[in-house]
Amino acid sequence: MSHTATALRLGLREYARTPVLLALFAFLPVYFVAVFAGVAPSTPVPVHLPGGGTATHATADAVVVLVAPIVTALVVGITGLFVLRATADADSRLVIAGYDVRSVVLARFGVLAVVAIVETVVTVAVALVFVSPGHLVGFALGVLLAGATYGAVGVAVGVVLDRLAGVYVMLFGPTLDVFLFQNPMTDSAGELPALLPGHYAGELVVAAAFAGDLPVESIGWGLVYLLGVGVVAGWAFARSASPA
Amino acid sequence: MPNILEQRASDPGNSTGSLDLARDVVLRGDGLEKTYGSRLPFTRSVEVLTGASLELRRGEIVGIVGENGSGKSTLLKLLVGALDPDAGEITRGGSVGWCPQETLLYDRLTVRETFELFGEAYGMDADAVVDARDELAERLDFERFLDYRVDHLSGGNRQKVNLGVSLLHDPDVLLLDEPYTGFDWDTYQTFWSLTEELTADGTSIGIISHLVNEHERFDRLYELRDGELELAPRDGGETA
Repeated sequence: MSHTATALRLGLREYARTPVLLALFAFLPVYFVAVFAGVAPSTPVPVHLPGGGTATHATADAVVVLVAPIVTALVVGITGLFVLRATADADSRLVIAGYDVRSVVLARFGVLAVVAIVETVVTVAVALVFVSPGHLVGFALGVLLAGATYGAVGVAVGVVLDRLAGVYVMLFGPTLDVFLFQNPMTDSAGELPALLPGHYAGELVVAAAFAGDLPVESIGWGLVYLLGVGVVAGWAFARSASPA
Repeated sequence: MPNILEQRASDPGNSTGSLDLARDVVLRGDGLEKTYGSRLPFTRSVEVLTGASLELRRGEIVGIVGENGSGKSTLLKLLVGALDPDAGEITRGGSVGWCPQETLLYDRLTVRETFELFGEAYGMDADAVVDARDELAERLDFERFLDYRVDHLSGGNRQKVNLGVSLLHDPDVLLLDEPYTGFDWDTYQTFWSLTEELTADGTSIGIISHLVNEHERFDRLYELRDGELELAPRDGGETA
């Protein structure tokens, strides 16, 4: 446990000393949410609610609700990718020196968890300037779920792709997933959306924001999905940090 | 999870070999083979080591030379456990310190934090880490950089820290990959005087380099060629 705590503490210091990630952390939520809120029209649009039914809301409100999980997914996902890529070689040396690889993996996921939580707070705070979700906790949970899930995806992507290719994947992945496939302003596009990482987070933010609901089923399946992705990412990370 | 401190007998390809090791052999690689494969089509695998064998005895310093791309770094990674051999056996009789060619440190940690982290990895308590770190920092002349981030150090100073990390736990076997790259003349001299002290205290040292000028500093020199190790002739043609 001491190993994990030390690696987590020093991992957070490393993160705090990475200007690009810090800039993304603070700048992206403000920029994305404010820009989309400003450019999207206020024209009423039908929003399909999870579980059935529709509600009519301003397009700008619907867009802001969708952009919030995207921004968090982008920031935490890219952080996952960068954390993996930047520390992989040194992590291997640390493991060879005597660190338990599980401690290293837990510490890196701990950094991602802290980033996901703080980024959720920042993004939700910015979103609240433009929208008033019916169920604030549910909305925040959806944003957090999107960030955490894509953080784990970022780690897995970092194991198989280099930094440039990984950044492209982590930029396009969450954006297409949430904005295209999980968009409640369009009809469902078959079974594919339900398989994507943003599905349950998308359901959660839409239900919380527009129906005032806290859909337990979406939270449960979202956590199962997060656990699955986390296990795969953790296994891939541990394998990359262990002797080959 | 195997690591430098624990893997002495844990891997199938590794064994403690306490009988041999009691008789001064602290590290042995026997018939080591390694091929880098590829699962991608239209690519080929590269056979790097085809049966390399060597041994290090207590208190001796051994050099391993070879041309670029001959597999020296791969051999060292096998010996420390960073890679698993495809075939062959590795026997380690004590703790190992590894100074890789690329420094493999956390760029955004300070030197002080780096030693704290690796000291914990080696299982040292905080006081022992501070004592060993300060002694190494004074000896290798990086005291004034303890609060510098690793990525803010010059190449030479980064290499000093790299060497310091590998020496922190006073290992029984020290394996160094091109250790003096970037050293100034004073540090180069300090390095050799440090190795003399370490070997006098019983530490075994293996140094990999593409170029060895001062053969007299080594007890034995191996040359890695065509995937195998041969004892290299000393100056004048005598086999070391």
